[in-house]
Amino acid sequence: MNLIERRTFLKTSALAAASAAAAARAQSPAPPTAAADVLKWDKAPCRFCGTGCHVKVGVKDGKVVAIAGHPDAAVNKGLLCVKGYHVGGILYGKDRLTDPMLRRNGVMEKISWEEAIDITARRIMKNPAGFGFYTSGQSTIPEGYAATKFMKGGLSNNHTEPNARLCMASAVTGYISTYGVDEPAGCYDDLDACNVLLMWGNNMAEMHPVLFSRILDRRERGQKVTIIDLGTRRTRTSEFADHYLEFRPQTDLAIANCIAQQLIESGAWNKKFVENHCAFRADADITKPDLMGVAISFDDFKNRIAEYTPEYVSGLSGLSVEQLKMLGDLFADPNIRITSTWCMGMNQHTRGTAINRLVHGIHLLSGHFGKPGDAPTSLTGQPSACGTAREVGTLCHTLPGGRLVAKQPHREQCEKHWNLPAGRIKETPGYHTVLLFEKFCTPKDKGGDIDTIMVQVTNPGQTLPNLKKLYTAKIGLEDKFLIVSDVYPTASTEIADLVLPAAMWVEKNGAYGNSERRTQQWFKMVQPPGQAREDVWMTIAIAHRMFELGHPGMKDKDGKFIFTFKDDAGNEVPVWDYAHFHDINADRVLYEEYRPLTHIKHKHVAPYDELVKATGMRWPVVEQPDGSYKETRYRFVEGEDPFVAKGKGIDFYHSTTDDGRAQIWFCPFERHPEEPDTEYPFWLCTGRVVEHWHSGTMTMRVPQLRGAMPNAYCEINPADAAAAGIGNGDDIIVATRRGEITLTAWINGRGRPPKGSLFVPFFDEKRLINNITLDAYCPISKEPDYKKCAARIRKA
Amino acid sequence: MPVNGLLLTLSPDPEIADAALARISKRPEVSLGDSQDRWQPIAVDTLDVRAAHDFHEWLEALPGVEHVDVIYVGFDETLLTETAP
Amino acid sequence: MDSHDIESYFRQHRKTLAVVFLVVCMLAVSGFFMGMRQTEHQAIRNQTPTTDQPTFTAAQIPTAPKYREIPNTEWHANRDWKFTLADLPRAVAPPTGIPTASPAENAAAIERRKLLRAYDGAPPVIPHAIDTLKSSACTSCHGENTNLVIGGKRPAEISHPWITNCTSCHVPADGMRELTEPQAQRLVVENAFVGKSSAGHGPRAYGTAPPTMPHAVWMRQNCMACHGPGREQAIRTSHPERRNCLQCHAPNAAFDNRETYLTNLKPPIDSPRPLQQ
Repeated sequence: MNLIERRTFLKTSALAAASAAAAARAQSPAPPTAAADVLKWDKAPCRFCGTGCHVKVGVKDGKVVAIAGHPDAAVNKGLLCVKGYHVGGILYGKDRLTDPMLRRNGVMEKISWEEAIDITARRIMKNPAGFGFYTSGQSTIPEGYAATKFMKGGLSNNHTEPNARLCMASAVTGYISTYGVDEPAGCYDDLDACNVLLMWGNNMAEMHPVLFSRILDRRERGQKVTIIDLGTRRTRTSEFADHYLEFRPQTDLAIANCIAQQLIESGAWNKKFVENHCAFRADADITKPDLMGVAISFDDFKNRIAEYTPEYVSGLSGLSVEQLKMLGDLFADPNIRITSTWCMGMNQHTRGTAINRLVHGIHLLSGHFGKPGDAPTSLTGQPSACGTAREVGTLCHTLPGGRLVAKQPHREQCEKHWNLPAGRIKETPGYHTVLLFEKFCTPKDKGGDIDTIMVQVTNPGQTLPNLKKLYTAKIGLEDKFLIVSDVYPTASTEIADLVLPAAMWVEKNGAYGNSERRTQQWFKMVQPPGQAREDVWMTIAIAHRMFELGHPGMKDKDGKFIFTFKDDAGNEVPVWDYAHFHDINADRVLYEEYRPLTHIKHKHVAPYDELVKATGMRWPVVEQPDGSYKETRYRFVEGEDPFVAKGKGIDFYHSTTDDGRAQIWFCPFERHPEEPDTEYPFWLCTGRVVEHWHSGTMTMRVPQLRGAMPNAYCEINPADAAAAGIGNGDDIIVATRRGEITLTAWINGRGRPPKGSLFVPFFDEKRLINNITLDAYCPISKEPDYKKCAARIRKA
Repeated sequence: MPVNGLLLTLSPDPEIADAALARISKRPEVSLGDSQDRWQPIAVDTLDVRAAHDFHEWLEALPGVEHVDVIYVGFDETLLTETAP
Repeated sequence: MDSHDIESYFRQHRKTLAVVFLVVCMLAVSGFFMGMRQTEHQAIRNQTPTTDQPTFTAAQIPTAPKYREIPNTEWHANRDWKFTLADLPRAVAPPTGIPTASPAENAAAIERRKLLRAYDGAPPVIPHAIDTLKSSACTSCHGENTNLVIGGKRPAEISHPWITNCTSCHVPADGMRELTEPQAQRLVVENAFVGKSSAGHGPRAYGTAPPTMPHAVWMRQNCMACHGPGREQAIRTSHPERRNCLQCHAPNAAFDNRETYLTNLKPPIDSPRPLQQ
């Protein structure tokens, strides 16, 4: 046999053997792995909170059938919380909204999309200045960008607000008045490096459980980390904490000042850090506080802070002198790393800006800043409160990329970028959320100059404070028109005049930005039900309809429509016609149009195509010489932040005083406007539970989550319950000066309020606690205080 | 000069499987057999053992190929002694 | 606090604190003894797990009354009450060897498992009332090597013991039962989500080859939590003495649901505990 023959023979034999094996394999019963094989997996950020966990979404036959924590995601490292694991279920509640509906003579009737868009456009045309656009920290980045461009650049109308006003506005003003730029300097990596985690009124075990697990896991691995829960009620977080420090509501201001006082008194403040990088500041007139305040000297600061001795603050706060000294000693120790976190406890506060400033202040004063594990970091409650509301700028006073409508150069830059005539963008800020809805709920002849509001991706009918005044008061008012785009019937759609069915989460393309400056992108994976469509399409379709109807603002300098969408070949795509909306990735076009606007405040967000490959990237994301993109963990720190020059160490390069310094503020302790008294003797606090996300629109439709937490309740201290003759499970009436609601009493439940305190979660649309909450807000951030008001109880 | 019979388990997604098969069929070392379902028998003729290993690894790394089972191993001893040290 | 203390305490504060005491009792006891309670929740009505021993009678399964029903309920002493965990019976390891469950029994076991999960891979919901505040209550029965038998059933053992905030992922199927309002006063919406089902057996290369894993390893690093002695026969190992499971049983890439794209991120930090050695 020659060589060729032998090789042919060998090949034939080999192929025969392999073919026989293939036949055997094919005839054997289908391998049981088939179920796994047919799933198509793709990545997406979780739909819920601001943590920004990445999930993997398993899709089969056009439906989401499984969820897994993304093992490569730096945020959650493969772990999720119970909401995240069940996020797939939120798409499939049986009562999804599937058709546009118009209220005619009090009855909701199905209409076509063309009609719905036309009605909306004409309604806005009628009185463009009286239109308010209420969006959300759940709006995707392109949705927020389109909304803000349409309103501020198109309509010359700054009445656009995100619900984030209710959520992190105080964090924004805290950051801006301290560092001159919004967003945290640290990141979640601090949680892996800190020796002390100090939570300011922050029930992380329930509200940011995945981040909390990062700390708990370290403890489990044998690392020493001290967890301090500074709270007004015992929670699951307290159970994991080394120290639970229970303070009286509102006295967090005094506690922070007390830490500063001790640092100054003992001389343990970091003189080098403060001399090189900080300056002192205070409000010029405390009765009229503003964002920027005035400079004060160190001696002035020292004199003002002097009264906040541990003894004095102990009397105010209820913490013991020893507890206050422990906090002071921790900050005085330069050899440990302290991470402070907070969320709504500090933000939903009538002095929200002040307490945010003070917490930044004690970190700066003590030098616990700029090293891994040494950082004050606010956590956000919504998936894109940072990415959309803050970075894109959907607040009534902001423009994209950290710009302000009040600043001429900022308006000019946007007008230029958008090719708009000079002066198109109005310089006066619009109405903030509470004012916007107050004006909408006030008759026209009494100054209610907002007559149309469009709501997207949020549920103000449940989440505004003092709902009777700010939402349901609209009922019966003449010539007020409410448009709500949502995915399910909600307290908001209930009184809407026009309801638009929206696509949600993986039914559309999207991008979010989480609490640690991380921008995240995902693709559409399944079809929305019925006629439900993307919110970003609605905005563009309405704008284009107004363009057709001749609204001058919908034209740019050259008379063309303000939104342009081109495919790769440079041909225009009429995305406002839904038949062509998916011809290109409209999200990518809008995002890339927005991206250059982020550079002025050095918030360089990553290119869309980079985000596609990543489980999120933390800005500033800067191109490297080799063409790759690098994210930034720590801002203002040399070697980490690409915008800090060599040799600087730390550089607050957006300083409000233009000298590279951050501001250490003095803000006095001030009493709450509605403290308990003999008539209303209880503090009433509201908040969330781990199973439900915000108003429960999505999570209450997931059987596993609803089963675990089916309705709202009122936590009450056993002593108070006994005094009122209330037993566990009794119906009680909780009343404030704004009304009353009936709730079930829960004694010694998952949260344990101290004597004189109540807690009620706000997820339950059948028990709207916000009917009775207070609408007082921080004078600077305009964020209402949902955490404190005076209440009384009685057995039903 | 080894000649091996391999059984490839391809992706159940026909698009991915076809793309993989197209790339495999372009390799001169390969003779394709008749596929059964998602199982593709192939014979591979390489110059030496190392090349056979490399090719095996290339197959395993190829998107669309889920498993590579070795069914048959044949050596040509004469050539082996000449080419392999 | 011994029973004398409790009684005197009660005599002093009978009216005001009776309810409080019952709450404490309920929360502590219910976790042990209420595993088999019927759920009243519509959406998960059929998800109550049945026990391994179908011969259980109602009398053997203590059913706690709702708090509001307590005044009118005849309060039976818990028959199986033990003051300390140490007094509860321990599971006796069954003989090793090939499990002998019939296909029907195996199918039933898989069905039971399914009822507690939204999809294969979802964290199971909790089929009993819990201490709503502390995770230590969970681990007293579900921790590693607790080996207890409660109401004839072995509590599931934690398969990822380094994660300690149990209730962040596991929630009661029928939580807050004592506080649940009638459905008319709650938002109850049906849901059409259909979860991915279990993949069944892991494939074998040939008849007697060790099967590969039909699921991801992540969060299931403690193999014995599900496959150890005393677990469901359908998935129980015949050779628990061999502890290095991954030596023979290979993970299956199909279940790691890897995308084809590359991320720019490094792989996550290794799981904090080594695999079972």
